[in-house]
Amino acid sequence: MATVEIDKVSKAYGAVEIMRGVSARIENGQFTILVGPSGCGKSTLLRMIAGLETITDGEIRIDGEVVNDVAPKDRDIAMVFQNYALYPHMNVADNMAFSLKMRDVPRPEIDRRVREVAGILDLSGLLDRYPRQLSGGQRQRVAMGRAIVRDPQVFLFDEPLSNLDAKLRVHMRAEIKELHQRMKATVVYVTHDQIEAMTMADKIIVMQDGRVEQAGAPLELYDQPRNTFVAGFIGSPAMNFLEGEIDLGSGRFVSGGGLRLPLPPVSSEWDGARAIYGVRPEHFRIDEENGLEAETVVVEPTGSETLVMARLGDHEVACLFRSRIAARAGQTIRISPVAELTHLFDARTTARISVNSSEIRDKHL
Amino acid sequence: MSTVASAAASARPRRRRSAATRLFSARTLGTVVVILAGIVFAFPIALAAVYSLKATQDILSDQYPLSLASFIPLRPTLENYQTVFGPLNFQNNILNTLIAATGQVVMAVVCSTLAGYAFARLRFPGRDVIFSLLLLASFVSVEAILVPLYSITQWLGLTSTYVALFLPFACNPFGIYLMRQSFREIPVELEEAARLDGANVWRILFSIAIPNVLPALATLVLIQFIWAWNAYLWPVVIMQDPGKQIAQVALANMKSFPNFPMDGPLFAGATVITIPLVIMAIFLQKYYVRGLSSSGMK
Repeated sequence: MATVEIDKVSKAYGAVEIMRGVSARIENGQFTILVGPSGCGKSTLLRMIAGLETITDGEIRIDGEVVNDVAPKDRDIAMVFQNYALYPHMNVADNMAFSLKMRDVPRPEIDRRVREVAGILDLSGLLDRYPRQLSGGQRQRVAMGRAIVRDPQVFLFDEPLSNLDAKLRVHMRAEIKELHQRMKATVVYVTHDQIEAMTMADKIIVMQDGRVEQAGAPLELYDQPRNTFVAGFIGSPAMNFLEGEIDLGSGRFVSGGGLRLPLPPVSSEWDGARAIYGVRPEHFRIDEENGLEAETVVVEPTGSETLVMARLGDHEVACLFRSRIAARAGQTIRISPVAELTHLFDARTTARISVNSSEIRDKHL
Repeated sequence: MSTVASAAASARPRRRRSAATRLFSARTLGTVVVILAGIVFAFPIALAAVYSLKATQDILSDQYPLSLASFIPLRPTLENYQTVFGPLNFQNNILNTLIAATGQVVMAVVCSTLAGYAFARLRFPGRDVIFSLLLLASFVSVEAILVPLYSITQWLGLTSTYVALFLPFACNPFGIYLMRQSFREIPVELEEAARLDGANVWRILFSIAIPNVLPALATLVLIQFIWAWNAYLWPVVIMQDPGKQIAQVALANMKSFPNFPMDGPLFAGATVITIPLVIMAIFLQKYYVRGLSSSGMK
């Protein structure tokens, strides 16, 4: 197992720069997820680590060694591709054995390792089958088996679950996570699905337009997003944003539509500043006494919780309640955000300006 | 109300029946057209095969060569085959054709596979320009370049050699195009996975890429073999040694025996050289169709 250091890495196709000075550190044995919208450069970064893309500027180090000019086969990494990339003309056993054959591993050793990994992944009965004879989940497991059998320093996963149906995806998510815990491997995993990122990662790197927006533990990103992009990207349903002004005198945030919302802790220098008020759907509470009036638009009860789309002044906001709400569409409810759990962002730079502390959070949860 | 309902009920099956009839008639018409086309294509071959069992005198005495009666050999004989494989030593010509065709197939398969893969996957300066020029070259017919081709072959000292029969056709633009398209259809991740697994370019080509383009390769083998087998003009020009002449030219020469009609042996020879093509087509036709349809040339 190894650490992976990405140091001010840039990538340009001619004059078009698609990645700008990306830096990140992936610790030994860590499950790191690169997440971001399509075209943000996460797959490109993964392919750079693999050696399948060249680097215009910067350095990538695996276990301290600069690998910029090291061929993919000599980086001691294994990759699981989005479409699995199983060799169609080889059966499962040969697919898994191919990399070992390339390394001139003796045949008995190849057989032993293939059988061992097939056992771990529940593929023992499928070794003679061809990829076309396997289901999506089985192909996914063969692709992982092909990576595991090599016992590489680093595992790279490029959106490996995106071709599976929702149920199987949840199952495979747990399986990959369990496998990681068992093998203690260094994993770099790319996905555009923030739920996948939140549930699986030790560390999440959020990317946008070829830049790292924020890197940290999943709950750190959730609790203290560095800007509106991360705040909006992490968390489902997404955070609600309202634009307006900070009025420290009254301790309120005054939205463009005249709504007065309670402020989170923020330093006095921001008094009167234009800002963006962020509140996660689950941080609204029903407050019959002091709440703001909101008209419900859609009510979606899921049993364990209720998602309510409500019109709050000029804004439509999503509210998620852990309890069952008796309201129907078109009714008026009174809601208020939990002040300490809300976020403030600079309207000009979109950077975070409020200060939240985990103690405050713990008190409310 | 009930009248309307019953009318509607009776109309429904009729509508269904008419749709079925339309489908049936379209299918029948299609089948008839295909059978007719098959007859048109098979007719000359069948005629040659039947005539090959008649003595030359019988063939020449047929007043109405295309009448039904002329199709039945009233006095069937194998003398034409005895002549062809006896004094005419036609088996030697067939062997020469086989050498030329095999050489051409091997050369074309090797060159088209390597060049096709390079054009599909490797990055090198001028790749697309070279490929465009190659495609342009395919529009130039052999007839147009016959003289310079002859000069070059002569300069190489290859006139009247077996190598001269197939070397000029080693680089086949159609074959390169066919293989390039097939290689491009292999998901690039497959080759990237192989690179990460430790394979180099040659290993990727032989272990990953080629096993996944076998239908296209079979198509190339079949097409190239048919071209080489049916070649006429170039062998006439370049092969001056009668002992190394190919079957097609030898057949044509049978027409020019002065004062000695050779129609019977001619039909026998024509029948014999058709057989290998028919056998190959039967075995490779399913790959042939798949190869062409998967090469984006539908």
